[in-house]
Amino acid sequence: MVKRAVRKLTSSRRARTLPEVPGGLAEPCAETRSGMANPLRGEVVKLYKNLLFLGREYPKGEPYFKERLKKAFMKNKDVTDPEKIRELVARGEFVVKELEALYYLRKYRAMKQRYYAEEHEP
Amino acid sequence: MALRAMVGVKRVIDYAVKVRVKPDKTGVVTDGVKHSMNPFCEIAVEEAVRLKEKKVVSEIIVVSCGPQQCQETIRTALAMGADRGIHVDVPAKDYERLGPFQVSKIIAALAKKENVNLVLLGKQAIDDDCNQTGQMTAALLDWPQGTFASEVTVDGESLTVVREVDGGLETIKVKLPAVVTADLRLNEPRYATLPNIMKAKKKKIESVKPSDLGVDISSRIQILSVEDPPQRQAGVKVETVEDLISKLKESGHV
Repeated sequence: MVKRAVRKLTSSRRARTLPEVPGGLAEPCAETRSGMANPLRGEVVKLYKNLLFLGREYPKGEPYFKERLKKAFMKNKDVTDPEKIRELVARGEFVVKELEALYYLRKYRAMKQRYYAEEHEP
Repeated sequence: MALRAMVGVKRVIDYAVKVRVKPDKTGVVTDGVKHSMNPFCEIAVEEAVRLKEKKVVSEIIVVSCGPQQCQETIRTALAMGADRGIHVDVPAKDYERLGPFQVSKIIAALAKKENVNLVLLGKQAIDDDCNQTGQMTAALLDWPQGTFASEVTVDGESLTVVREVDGGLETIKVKLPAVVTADLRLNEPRYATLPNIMKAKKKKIESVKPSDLGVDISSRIQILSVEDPPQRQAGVKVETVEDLISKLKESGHV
């Protein structure tokens, strides 16, 4: 999965742009507040925590990432359809993979530039 | 035969941080600066984990020398898939003077103590750029070495290592036990994810002192001065071809 994402990043021009913060994920607050814990709640929280953790290394800075991440999650706070929530979580997982690939590539390129400067790309 | 692998990891200033030299020229500023695992050490850890996934390696031991914060670096390696860690506690004051020679003595002592038959290291650290630890460890253990590895395969009692040499690749075969140092293209290290870091907190990190291993860490090197690289001179704009030629003549290029 990461490998595929890496290849995708290298082969396309998107390699130079940063993957966008997820387009929005559900946090079914309404149900939890009313006492009916949504079984997907744990998954959504886990994803949020995971993304927060990844955001610490974001090239544009952590505050930038955090703000967008929160906005993206809040945008879908009223989504209750489990099917839709799953779809949004899957989108979040994809962003996780993209971020991991981005960080790897960034490091790889920096190392290549610093230590293998005289070599040229074929 | 299942191998027991030991991987050395170093905590260095993060590759993305702009390094600043201390005004008194004794070193670089490390206080309050983001640190992470040396990228080449990450590659070494990844290779060990992949060998474990192939069932070639049975146990991976991670070693790091330095102050208390090194445990975070060990934790990252454990999150990537290593089994247990050994933190060789060197106080910050002594750590400033700890060089590749002392580290290789420590790793060699631990390799014997833990009875490992494969030592994996990064080819060099991005802070001091020494590129000596692997070679000296191999010498101290009197084991063969496969440095600058871009491919490692285990066949029975020996290793086939593809090495990155000037202008090409060299394939060598070495007998186990051996020391291997990782080059950039060996693999793509996985990311230490949050859940894995949490799980890694359950893994054991043993703390030892160099004196427990009978290693003398006194340094024989004195740092005279650490300086910034010279700043690049500003260029000049020329209006015409004649100007360009006269400038080039002035600077002795034509």
